[in-house]
Amino acid sequence: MKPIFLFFFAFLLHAMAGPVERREEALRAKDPETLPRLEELARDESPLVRRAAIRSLGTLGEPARALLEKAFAEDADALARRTALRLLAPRSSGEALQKLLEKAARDPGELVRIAAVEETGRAPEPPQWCIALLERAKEDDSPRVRNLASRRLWPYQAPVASARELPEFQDIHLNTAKTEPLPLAGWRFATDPAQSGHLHQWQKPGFDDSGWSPIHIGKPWQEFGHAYEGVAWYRLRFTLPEKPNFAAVDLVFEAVDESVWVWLNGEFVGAHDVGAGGWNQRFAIHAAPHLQWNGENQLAVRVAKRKGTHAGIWKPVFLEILTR
Amino acid sequence: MKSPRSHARLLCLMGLAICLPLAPHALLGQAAPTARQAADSASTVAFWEFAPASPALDSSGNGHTLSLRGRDSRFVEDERFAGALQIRDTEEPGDTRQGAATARAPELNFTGPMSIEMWVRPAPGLSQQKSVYLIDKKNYPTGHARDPHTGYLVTLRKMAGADRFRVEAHFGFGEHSKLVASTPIDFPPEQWAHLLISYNGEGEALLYKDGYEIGRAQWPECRAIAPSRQSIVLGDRLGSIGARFLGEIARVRLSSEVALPSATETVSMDPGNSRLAFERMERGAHLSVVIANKTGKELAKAALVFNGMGEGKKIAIPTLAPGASQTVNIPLDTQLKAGSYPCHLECRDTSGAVVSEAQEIAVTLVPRALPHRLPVIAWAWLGPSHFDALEAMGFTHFLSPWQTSTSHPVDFVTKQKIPEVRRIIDRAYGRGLRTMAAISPKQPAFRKKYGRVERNGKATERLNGLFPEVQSTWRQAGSFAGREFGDLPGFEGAMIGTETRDHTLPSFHVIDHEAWKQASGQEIPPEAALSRAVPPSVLDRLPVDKIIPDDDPLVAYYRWFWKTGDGWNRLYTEASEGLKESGRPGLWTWHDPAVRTPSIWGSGGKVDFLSNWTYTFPNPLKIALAADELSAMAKGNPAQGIMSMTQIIWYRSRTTTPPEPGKPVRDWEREHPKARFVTIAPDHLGEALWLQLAHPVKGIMYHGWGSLVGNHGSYQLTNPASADRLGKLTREVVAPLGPTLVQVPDSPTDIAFLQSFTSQILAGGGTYGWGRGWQADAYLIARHAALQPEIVYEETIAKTGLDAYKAIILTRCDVLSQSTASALAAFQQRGGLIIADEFLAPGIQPDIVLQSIPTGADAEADYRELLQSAAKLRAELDTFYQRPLDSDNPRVIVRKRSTGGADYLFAINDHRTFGDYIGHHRLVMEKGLPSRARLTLRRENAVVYDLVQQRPVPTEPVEGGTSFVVDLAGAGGAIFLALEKPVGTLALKAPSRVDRHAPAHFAIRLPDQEGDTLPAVIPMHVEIRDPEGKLAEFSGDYGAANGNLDLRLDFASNDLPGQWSITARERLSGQQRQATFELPEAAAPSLP
Repeated sequence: MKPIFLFFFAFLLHAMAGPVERREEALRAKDPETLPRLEELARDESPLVRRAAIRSLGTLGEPARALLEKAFAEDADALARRTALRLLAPRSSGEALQKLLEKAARDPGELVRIAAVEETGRAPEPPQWCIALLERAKEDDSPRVRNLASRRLWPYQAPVASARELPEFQDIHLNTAKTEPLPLAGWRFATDPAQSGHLHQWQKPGFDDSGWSPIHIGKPWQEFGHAYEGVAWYRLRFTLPEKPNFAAVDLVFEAVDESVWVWLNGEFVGAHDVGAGGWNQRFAIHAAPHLQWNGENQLAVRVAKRKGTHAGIWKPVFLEILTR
Repeated sequence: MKSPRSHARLLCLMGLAICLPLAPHALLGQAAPTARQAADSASTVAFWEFAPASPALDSSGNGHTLSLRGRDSRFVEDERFAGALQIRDTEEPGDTRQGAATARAPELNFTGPMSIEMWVRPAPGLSQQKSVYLIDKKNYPTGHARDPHTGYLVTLRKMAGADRFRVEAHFGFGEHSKLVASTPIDFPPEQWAHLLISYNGEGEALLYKDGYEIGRAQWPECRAIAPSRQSIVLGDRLGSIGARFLGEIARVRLSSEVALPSATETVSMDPGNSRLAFERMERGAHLSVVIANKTGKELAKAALVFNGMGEGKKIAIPTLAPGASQTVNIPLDTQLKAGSYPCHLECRDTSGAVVSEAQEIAVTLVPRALPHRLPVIAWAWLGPSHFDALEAMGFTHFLSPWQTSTSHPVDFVTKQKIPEVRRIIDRAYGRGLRTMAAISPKQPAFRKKYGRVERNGKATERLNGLFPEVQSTWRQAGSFAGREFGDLPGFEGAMIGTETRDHTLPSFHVIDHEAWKQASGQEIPPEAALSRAVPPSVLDRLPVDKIIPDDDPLVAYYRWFWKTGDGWNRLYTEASEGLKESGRPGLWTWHDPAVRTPSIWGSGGKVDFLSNWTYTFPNPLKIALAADELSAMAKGNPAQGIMSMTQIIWYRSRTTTPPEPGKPVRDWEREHPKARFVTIAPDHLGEALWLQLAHPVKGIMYHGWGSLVGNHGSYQLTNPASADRLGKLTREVVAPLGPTLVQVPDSPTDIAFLQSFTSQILAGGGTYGWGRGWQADAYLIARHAALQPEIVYEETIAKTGLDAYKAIILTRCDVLSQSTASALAAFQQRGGLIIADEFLAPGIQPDIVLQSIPTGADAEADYRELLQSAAKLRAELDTFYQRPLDSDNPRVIVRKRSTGGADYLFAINDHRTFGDYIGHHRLVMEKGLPSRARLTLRRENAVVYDLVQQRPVPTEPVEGGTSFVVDLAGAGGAIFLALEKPVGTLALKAPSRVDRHAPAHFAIRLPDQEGDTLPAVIPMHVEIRDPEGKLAEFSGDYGAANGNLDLRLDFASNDLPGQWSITARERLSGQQRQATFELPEAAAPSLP
C-alpha cells in the first residue's frame, strides 16, 4: 500500500475515533514525534481528552513548553488550565514563575487561583512579588483562595474546636464537673504593629516577657491605657493543681474582641477568626493534651482588632473540666 | 400397632405406675421451732402469726399489735400457716400506704444481736416490681435528714432484665448505713420461701433463704444498730414510694439473738439453674435438680420422681444428712419432636410420702437451626422480660446482661452471676433466641495499673494493650466466657471491646518507646501527641506537590500506632481466640465500631466480623458508606466478614432545633420535651435496612432499645411506628431472603474510592466512621451518580494495585505517599480516570474535578446540592465509563452483588421529603416518597426475577444490556435476580413412606429451563406438616445453592403417624410443589 493511502487511512482512523480512543491516544503519546498530534488533541472538543493531552505534554520537557503555555493561556476549561499550570510551575523560576503565577492568580477559574496560591510555596523564602500576590489573594472572591492565601502568609489557621466538637466525643454526653478560672490579673501585654511577634517567638514558653506591660483581662485593653488598633499579645503564667479525673478539658474564652490565636505551652491550639462578628462570641478549645497538671503553664494569646476602641480579652477565661 | 398417642398414654401410665405405690402428699414433720416455741423464746421480741382468731396480735406477748394500712392489705387464712398478711394492688394501686404497722416502740430497736425471720409467698405480679419492702424500720435505705442512718429494713430488688431478685437488708449505724445483699434468687410465684436476716451486733450480717446462706457482709467498724424512732411496717415502706410487696407474709419473728438457719420442714428441689431448653437430637441432655434436705433429719432412700416427655422416671437420691444437698441429673430424650413438654417433679421418701413441694416445669426441645440464617441482633443487654418484644421485631440475637466484676477483670461476669446468665441464655434459646456476651475487661483498677502515659509523663487510666498482662487478661476473659457458657447451644459468641478505641492516644510509657524502637529503630516523633492528626504546621513543611516518601517517620509511627502500637487490635484478637479455646464449634465474635479509626487495616484484630454504629440522619445512605468502609477494613483479613448496625436513637440536638414561638410542636415533643435521644424515623430505618441488604453483611444490628420499645434511660420512644416497620421488614424480607443473601458475595467493581491514611494523619479529614463531612458527601454523590465505589486504602493499592478499576475517586487526599502517587500515575497512564476534589495533592493531575460542597444548613438544600453534583459528575463521566448497573433516577440507589452467573440487583428508594415527625425542624428529611426508575444491567438478554414479589420482571433489551422499570414505595427497596436463562420447573422428590427409625431424604431442585444447573443461590421456602397440619422441624427459609436443596428429616417417636406433607416454594417465579408421605405408627415400647 502506498504511503499516501496509509496516511489517509490513519487520518480516517483519527477522524473516526471517539473521545475514549482519543483520550487513550493522548495518554500514549509520549515522544517528541507525537507533539503535533498532541497539539491537536490539546484542542479536542472533549475536556477529558484535552486534559490527558496536556498531561502528556508535561512529559515531553522543553519542546512542549510552548504548547503547555498555550493551553494554560487559552483553554476554556479551568481544570485543563490548572493542569498546564501545575506542569509549568515546577520548571519555572524567577520572572517566568512570577508571570505564570500572577496570571494564574487572576484566572477566572477558582481551581486555577487555588493552584496559583499553592504554587507560591515553591519559593522557600517568598520574594516580595509572592507576598504581594498572596496579599491580593487574601481579597479573592473565593473563600477557599482567601483561606489558602491567609494560611500561606500566616500559618496559624486551625480553627478552635471544643472537646464536644471532636469526633472522639461525638457519642458521649460531656458534663461540666468543675471550672478553674484563670486569674484576671497577672497577665503581660505587648502591641505588635509589625505583626511579627510570632517570628520573635512571643508564643513560646521560654520567651522573656518581663519587659511587657502588666494588664488585667476582663476589660478591653483600652481601659488600661492602650489606645491602639491592630495586633497585640497577652501572656500569662498559671499553675494548675493535681490532675483531676476528666474525660476532656476545654479552655474557654467568654469573649475576645475580635480575632484570636491561642498557644498553650508553646503549642498552637486554635484560632477564633470569624471577623468583626466574633467580638462577643464565646469559644472553647480542647486543651487537655497540652496542659501541665501540678505544674506551671504558659498561655499566649494574639489578638487582632481591625478597627474600634474596644479590643482585647474583655471577658474572663477559664478551664472547664468535663466528665462523662 | 399402637399410635404415638397411645404410646404417649402408655408412657404416662408407666409414670403413674411409679407413682401409684406412693401415698398422697404429706409433708414431713416440723423440724423448725414450732410457733409456740418461737413465741415463748426469751429472745423473741415480736412474733406475728396472723392467726385467724386474732391476726394482728403479737404472739410474743410484748404487745406490738399490728394495724392494716390500706384497703389492699388484709389478714387471710392460709393452709400451711395459720394465717398470713396479704397485700394486693386491686383497690388502691400505686403510691398508697399498705401492709401492716406497729405503733412506735423502742423495744423494737436492738442494741446487740438481732434476727428477722419470715415466710413470704410472692404473687405473680411481683415480677413486675423493681423493689419491694418486706419489713421497714428505717424508711431511707441510705439515710436521710429525717431518718439519719437508724433502724433496719429488708427489701427484694428485681434484677435488671431477669425475673430474679436480690434480698437486701439495710442497717443504720448512726453515721452511715450498710447494705448486705444476696446473690440473685428465684422467688417463684405462689411458693412459700423462708427468709432469715441476722446481725450479730459486731459488724457481721447474714442472709438465708430456705436455710441456705445467700449473702453475707462484714463491717468491722460497725457495732449496734442505731435506734430508730419509727414504727415497724410489714410488707411496704414506712414512707410512700409505692413499694408494697405483692403476696403473703407469714410467721414474722424478731429476736434479740443471731438465729441460726434451721430446717424449714421440707426437702427442696431447685431446677432453677438447670437448662430447660435443648436442641433436638442433642446428646447427653439432662435436667439438673438440686435436692436439699431441710427436714432436720437424715433423708435416706428417697427418690426424685419425674413425669414428663412421655416418661415416668424414679431416680434414687443418695442419703442426705440434714442440711445437705445433692444435684440429681435426669436424662432427657431429645429425639422427641421439637416443642414444649410440661414436666412434673417431686421427691418421695421410702414410704411414698411426698417430702417436697411439687415442681412444674416445661422442657423445650428446640428445632435444629436452619443453615445460613442472617442474624438480626439487638445490641442491648436484655433478659426474659424482653423476649416477646424481641420476637415481635424479628430479632434473632441479643446481648445477655452480664455483671462485670469490679475486682477482677477476667471474670467479666461475677461467679455468683454465672447461673443467672446461663439461665437467661437457656430460656432465650427455648424461645429461639441466641445470646451473645460482651467482653471488654477494662475495670478502673486494671486501667490504672496498666494505663497509658502522656508525653509529659502523666499516667492515665486508659488501658495500654502492649502490656503482656493486659493481653493475657483479655485472652482469659474470652476463655472464661467460652468455658462457662460454651456448652449452651443458645450461646453463640461475643462482642469484643466495643467503643474502646475512640479515645486512644499515643502513649509514652517505656513499653511504648521500646516497642516502637524495636519496630522501627527510631524514637517516637516529637509531633506525635494526638491520635488522629498532627499539628497543622507539619503540613506546611511538606513539599508543594504533597507527595512524601513512603518511610516518612511521622506517618510510619502512626501507621504502627493504629495497627499495633495502641495495643487494642491485639487485645481483640486475644479475647476472640480465648473464647474459642473452648473448642465449641460455631462461636463467633465481632468488634464495633470498627471504622472509627483512620483508614488502615487491622481494626478489630482477628474477630470474625467488623461492625459499625451508624446514625442515619440526615441521610440514610450513610449506612451504605459505613458498610463499604467496613468491607475496606476487612480486606486486611480475608477471614473477616462484616455486619452493619443502625442506631435506633437519634440525637435530639442534631435532628431538631430549639423551640421557638410560632414553630409547630408535635405530640411527641410535648410528651418528651427534654428527651436527648429520640427514635429513628420509620422510613429511615426501612431504607437503611434495604441498603444494608445490598451489601455483603453477615448480620444486622440495632442499638437503642429504649427508643424502640419504651423508655430506657435517656433513650426515649418517640415514634412507635419504627418498631412495627422493623418487625414487618424482618418478617417479609430478612427472614425469607437472608439465607440467600448471606451466601452471595460482593461483585467486583471497577470504581475505587480512596481513603488515604497518609492524608488523614498529616492533613486531617477522614470520616472515622461517622459518615459526616465532605469525604462522606462525596461517597453519597457517587452513589447518586449510580456508581458502585469500592473503598480502598493505600494498603489495598500497595497489595493489589489498581488494575481492576476504571476510575478512582480521590477526596481529601491532600498528601500521598510516593508509592501511592506512582500507582495513581500508572493507573491514569493506562487509561484509568482520576476523579478528585480540589484538595488533591498537587503532584497528581485529575481527569475530573468533583468540587467539594458545604452542607449542613438545610437538609433539603443539601440534598439538592448532592444531586446536582451527582448529575455533573455523571455528565462528565458518561462518555468514558459504562456502569455495570445503572439507574436513570438519582434518588434510586442501585448496587449489584454476584455469584456464579447470577447477578443480585438491589434498588433502594432514597427519595425523601420533610415529614410530620421531625421534618418541621428542616434538619432531616425523614419521610420517604415513591419513586420510579429504569434500571439497566450491562448484560444482554438477562432474565430478571423480583425476589420480593416472587415473579418474573418484564425487561427490554438495550444496547449491550437489559433494562426494566422498578416502582418503589417511599423508603422501599427491591431485590432482583438476573440470570442467563429462565428458571425451569421446580421438582420435589420425596419418599412415599418414611421410616420412623431412619432418616428420610427429600430433594428439591430448581434447574434452568433447559434442565441445567442454575448458577445461583435461590431463596426457597419449605413447609413440612404433620397430619394435624402443624409445622415440623426444618420448615422455614433456605438459600438453595445452585437451586438444589437436600433435606434429611429424623422423625420422632412421638411424631403423629399418618399422612404428612412437604411443600416447597421457590421465590423467583413463585412455583410451588407439594408431596405427601406416610409416617407409620411407632412400635410399642416393651415394658421392663
